[in-house]
Parts: sequence; C-alpha cells; structure tokens
Amino acid sequence: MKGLKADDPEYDRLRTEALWIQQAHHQLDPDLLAAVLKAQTFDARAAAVRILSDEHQSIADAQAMLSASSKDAHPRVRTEAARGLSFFDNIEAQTALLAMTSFPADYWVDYTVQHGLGANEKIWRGDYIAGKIADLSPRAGEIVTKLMEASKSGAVALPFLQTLMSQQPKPEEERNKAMTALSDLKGDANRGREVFVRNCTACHRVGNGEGREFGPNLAGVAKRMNKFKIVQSVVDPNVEVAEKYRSTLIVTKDGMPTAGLVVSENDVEVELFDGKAVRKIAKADIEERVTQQQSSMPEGAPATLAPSEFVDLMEYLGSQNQDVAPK
Amino acid sequence: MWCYVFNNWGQGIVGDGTTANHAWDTPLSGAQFGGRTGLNFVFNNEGMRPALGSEFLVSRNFPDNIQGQFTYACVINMNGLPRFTVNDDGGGFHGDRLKNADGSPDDLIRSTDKHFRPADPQIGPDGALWFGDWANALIGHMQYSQRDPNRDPLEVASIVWFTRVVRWSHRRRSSENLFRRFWNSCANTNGELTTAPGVNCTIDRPQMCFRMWLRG
Repeated sequence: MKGLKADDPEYDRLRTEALWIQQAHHQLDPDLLAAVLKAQTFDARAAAVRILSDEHQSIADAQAMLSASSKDAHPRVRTEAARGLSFFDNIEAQTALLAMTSFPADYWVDYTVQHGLGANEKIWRGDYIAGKIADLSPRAGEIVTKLMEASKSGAVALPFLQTLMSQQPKPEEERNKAMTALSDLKGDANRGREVFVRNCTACHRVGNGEGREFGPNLAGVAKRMNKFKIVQSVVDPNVEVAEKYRSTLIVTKDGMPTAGLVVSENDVEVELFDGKAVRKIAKADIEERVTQQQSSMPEGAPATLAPSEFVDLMEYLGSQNQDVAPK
Repeated sequence: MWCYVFNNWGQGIVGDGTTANHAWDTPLSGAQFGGRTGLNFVFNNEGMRPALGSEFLVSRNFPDNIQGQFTYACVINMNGLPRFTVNDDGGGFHGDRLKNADGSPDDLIRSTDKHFRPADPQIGPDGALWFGDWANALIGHMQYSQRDPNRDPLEVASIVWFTRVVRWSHRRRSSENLFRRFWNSCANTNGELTTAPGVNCTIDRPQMCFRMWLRG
C-alpha cells in the first residue's frame, strides 16, 4: 500500500482490494475508506459504499457519509447508497432517499430507493401526507404513490395469501373463501404482465409472446377458466392438470415401473414417452396403471411474489380473453 | 456457496437455482420489506434451467476473449455451461448469451448426452475450471419411482454420488503452480514468513476464489 503510486493504472482497484482485506479482518482504516469513497473510478466508489453500508453499525458518521454518496454522479454508487440508507429508520435518512429522485431516472437506483422507502414507510408516511417534506421532485411523488398503492392492495391480499400458503393446511372452506376474495381484487394488468415475464415465462407464454411452452400456452385462458379457477391453478397446480401434462405410471407383470406421457394407445398396447424414448408396453403385461395427479408446475409460487404482484398477475391473466383456435 | 459470485469490483450476482435466473444482489439486499417486488434479471437465459452453481470466467489460464464472461452449470433442458456477457447498464448490469455468427449459441461446454449433469463450476487456484459431473439418468422432484431401473445404484438416500470431477484448462497456456505462488506471496527469499498467508495473494491474482475465501 505504501509503495503504491497514485498514477498506477491499478491504483483504485488495489486500494479497494486492501479495504476488503481490512474488512475481513475487522480492521477498517477510516482514512482509506474515506479516500476510496472519493476515488476516480466509480466501481471503486461503489465498492467503498457497499463496505460502508455493511459496516455502518461500527462507523460513527456512516449516515452522513451515505447521504453524501447518495448524490454521486454515477447511478451504481447511488444504488449502493440507497441500499445503505435503507438500514436507517429515521426521517433524515428517508428524506435523503426521497431526494435521490431528483436525479435522472435509472431503473436500478429507482428500484432500490423505492424498496428502501417501502421498508421504512411508517417513518415518512405521516410527514409526507402532511406535506412536511420540502423540495420534493415530481418523480418522488410518482414513486411514493406507486408504493402506497401497492402497499394498500398488498395489505388486502396478504391475509388470504397467508391462508393459502400456510404450512398447516387450512380447511377447504377457508381456502375457497380466500381464493374467492383474491379473484375479486382489482389489480394492474400492465404491472401484472411484468410479473408474468419475470416469473412465468420459463414455462409459459401467451400466444406468440415471450416465453416457452413447457406448460400450457395461456392465450385465451380467461375464456377457458373463470378468475377463481385461474387463482386456484396458480395456488394449487395439482387440482386440475390438463390431460396432456399428466404422466402415467405403468408397472408391468415383471415388476418394472415405467413413467411418462401416453403418446398413443390401442386395444393391444400403450406407447409411453419417458423423456428419452418411446416404449411400447403390451396391455396384457400391465399389472398396475396409475395416472399421476402431480403437475410439473411448482407449488407455492405465490409465496415468491409480493402480495401486490400476485393481485397484478391475476389481473393480467384474467384479461387474456383472446379467441384461440382449438389445436 | 452455490449461485453467488462477484465480479472484480465485488458486485455480486445471485442465481435462483431452479429457474436459472440471475440478478444483481445490491438492490435485493437492503432492509427487509414484505412488499418486495421482483427485480429485472441480468440476462435472458432463453428458458435454460436449472443452475447448479455459477462462475465469472477470470483466469490467466483462459484466452483473453473469455475473460470476465459469466457461466452457470445447466442440467435439465440444456446439458452444459452457457456463456454470457455482463456489461454495465446504468446503475446495474445487462448481459447476453454468447452466439455464433449464424445465431446458434456459442457455449463453453455443451453435451448431447442428456445424463451430463455439470455442477458447481469454479475457477481453481491453478486457473483451471473445475466442476463435478453428477451423471445421473434421473432428475426431478421425486416424480420417479425409487425402483426405477435407471436410478443410480450408488445413490444412497439424499447423498449424491459424483461420478467424476472435471478439470478443464487451456492446452497452450500454463497453469499456475499453486504452492509456489502461495509461498512466494507470503515469504521472503530466505524462506521466512513475512505476512499472514492469504493477505498478499488476493491482490495480484485475478482468480475470484481468493477473494471468495478472504471475504468468507
């Protein structure tokens, strides 16, 4: 470190490496940290803010340092600062987060600012509604409105989702009531489309849109199912599995099991595709035959979404009422 | 640690094993928030899934045109290791799968053997890429019978039998002598220890594993 010259092309990276080593040994040098927070290279500044955020409990003026970095010219450094400020549940830190919206929009900074504010809503909500937070940018209003809307629709949906996702299964009547309530909620179909693209397109698509067809194509799903059924299919994919996606287990008289999708069947034999090859099994040899109820769609998918995202996704799926020609 | 790696500025990429989607970890690791919504992913993985570990390809043993690319081990609907670029996208990152001129994927490793199940790719201290091959015919969430004849007879309860470990390196580039480099990093020419082992070797070595070990 001592021999390192400021004109060394690796200067900023090597000083950042030194900070990580110090952090791992709980020996952060405050002067080096303060210097790297002002480094020429934005990635070095971002790394220093990350270290500052993770060590904020042992650095006296961490909040003031994070507030300074929240005005950095580079959006990556600001994203790190927004993450760091989210850990401070006081109105000054939250005001600093709101003030970050005066910079041009950046998807990553905005997400982090919004979630920092979301985590601390009880700190700023009163002052915001009373108009006590001065000098707000127009984008602060947009972000806060979106946040309060989502927290309202999420708050309504949350108890019903908790009933459905509960580790201890609830009685069927209670589950049906929860699914009815969820299917009556109004969401935002545009936001629901974003949720669909992020979470469902690995296996589904709508029409010729983005995604795959490992599971059913969901074009026209609202014509085939009412909203309750759509909610139910997402919450509990095993209740009703389209014939095409069910696998059949056949045990032959010699005790050999074969599982797969039935490709064709006549009076004499069944053809089963097990993922690798088509196997012909004579009907006379079949000892046992079971159509499995298991869907290959993961259960518990709603637990990986925010409650408001679930409501928006249902709104999006509920609006897929295209006419689809039968195949 | 599977499916968490960082680049040479310490920025982490976290993967969801089952969907093989990968996200920048900074926006996801702020204060806890019950209303957290999904975050855009770093790249479109074109439906390939799932991921059994990931790695940034940074090694003096590898050709220059691979440096800094991202890979993960994919075991079901693609059997191999696809490659992605990871570039700056404003505050965050955006990448794309490496493609040939004709649009076909230009993967690091790709097998037509559906039983090739690569796992946990990592650049070792010697600069080579190491990964396991679980080489099992069966995969899934127990939709299969315990008595299925394809089941690996050596697989006992949940213990997975690794059929082989692969060490993959560049033929015309030398691997690093692990012991020599390690020793030189913490001893003087008289063979006396001068610094705590591990402190110096992170700084002049590009491989991420040293930083991963250091940061614990």
